[in-house]
Amino acid sequence: MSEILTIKGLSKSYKQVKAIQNLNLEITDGQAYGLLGPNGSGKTTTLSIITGILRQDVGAYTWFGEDPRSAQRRCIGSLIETPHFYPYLNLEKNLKIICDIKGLGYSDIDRVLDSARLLERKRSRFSTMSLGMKQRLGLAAALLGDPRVLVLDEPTNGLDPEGIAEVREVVIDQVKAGKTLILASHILSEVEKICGHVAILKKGELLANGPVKELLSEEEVIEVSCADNQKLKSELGGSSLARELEEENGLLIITLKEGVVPADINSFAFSHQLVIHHMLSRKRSLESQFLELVKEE
Amino acid sequence: MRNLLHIEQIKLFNYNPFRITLGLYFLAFALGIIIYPAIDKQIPVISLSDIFRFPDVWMFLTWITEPYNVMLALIVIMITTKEFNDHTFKTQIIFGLSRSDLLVQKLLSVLLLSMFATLLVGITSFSLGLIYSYKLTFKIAFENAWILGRYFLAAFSYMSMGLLMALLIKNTALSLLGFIGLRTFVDPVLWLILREHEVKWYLPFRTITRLTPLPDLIELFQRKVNSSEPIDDAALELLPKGLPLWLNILLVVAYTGLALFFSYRLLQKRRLT
Repeated sequence: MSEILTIKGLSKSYKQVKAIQNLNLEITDGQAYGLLGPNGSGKTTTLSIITGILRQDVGAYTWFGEDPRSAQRRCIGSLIETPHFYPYLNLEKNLKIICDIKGLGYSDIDRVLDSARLLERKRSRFSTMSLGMKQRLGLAAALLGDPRVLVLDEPTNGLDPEGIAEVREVVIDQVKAGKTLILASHILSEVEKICGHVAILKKGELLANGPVKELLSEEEVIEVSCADNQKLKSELGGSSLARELEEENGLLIITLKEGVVPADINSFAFSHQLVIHHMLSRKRSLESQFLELVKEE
Repeated sequence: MRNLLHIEQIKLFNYNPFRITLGLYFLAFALGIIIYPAIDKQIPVISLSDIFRFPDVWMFLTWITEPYNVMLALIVIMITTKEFNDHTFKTQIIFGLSRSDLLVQKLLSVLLLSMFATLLVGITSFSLGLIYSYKLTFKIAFENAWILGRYFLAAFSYMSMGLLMALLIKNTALSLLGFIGLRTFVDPVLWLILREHEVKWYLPFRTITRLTPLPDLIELFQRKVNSSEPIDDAALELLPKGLPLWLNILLVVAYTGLALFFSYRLLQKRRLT
């Protein structure tokens, strides 16, 4: 896997506010990387630095194993926050400008406009577009020239449910085609569906980083119910099987210790004359993991 | 470079304020040419249409049209601040331009507008010269045409100052007011304050204006009446004075260079969000 983006010790402050602190990330070819974090966590600042809009205070980053240059950005399709184009120009002319910047011919314009469902509006001025249309044009511009890497910051921002599904489909197609994706989003389920790797940021610090599967499978959670939940809870509390026990809507939520499987709980209950009549493995969602991480800090 | 030029072309020719201001520039230019011959009829001895003859036409037309360069500087301010207002500098960076490219892009506009203004003055001067001149030889026709080079420098310099103002202030209205204020208020006031001091000749806008000074009307009059008598000292007092031409040109080049240097620094340092 060749190196696409490497971030080393990146820090950026706005006066007293530390936007990102000592951020380290490595993204290799073909990875779909999700950048998660609450508002003000430093996601957009990070993407703004790697796309050349902002300059870091400390640290460095490389694109394709080389120090950043403007020419590298021509191989990257980016959509950072709300896309800004020339309001008095129509969509086609706006995309012609992007083609000129990237050194591309104009033959790709119709294709990307079509993929963004904007082909019919190509002679309309950018200023007449709705927020959703602007967002779709931003994505179309990012796809111009079939770039190797896509950097998308909240690409579904302002879109209706149909638009969200369409954008997700386009992005998933890009990932399937082997493109490298760096995606910042608030919609965690979206990131979970698209990305294989995630980095979770809070107040500019990296809380967790790695493959989504690893982040989610650290521990297993099950919900059980028996004739006497209180008794089972107190017995399990004294055992070495459960790491955490909680009651929720008449169910006992058990976070299993490493190496413990649900069958062990069943055997344990049976040995204590308790018959479990409900047992369900709870899949930890990225959202619950994210919320837990963010809350812990 | 060709791509940068094409990008500017798309932006400019589709931007209404650019087209309108350029239209006003043409209008002001045409009115200037029409009004002067009209005044001509009111003034005896020196017919103002004499100055539309070769070789004086070059000097006179560059002097008449020099203030119109302010309008071109206003265009540069509008197209630059518009990029800040629409956040399009940021978009261009994201898609692969460097901050230096952004400056080069604007400099290409400045260069083209300067060439356009110089060409317009050149063609108009030549046409008027052909219409009004009695005696026409190649030598007489192009005797003073070199002043077009100075006119080009003046136009380029004005627009470079406008570019700096736009990058410094970023807001369209404030930048326009700032530039017009400097040109029409601060510079003349400083000129008055410093009228007893030689330093007054070093004021930036004054040095630019002095590139295309008022033509030597005394000499023109002398030629007109075919007088062989030398002009007396009192009359010479009326002639425009100032720094030697070479120093004046050097100062304008230095001021323009400084304006471009600070424009570059601003674009490098500014947050383009």
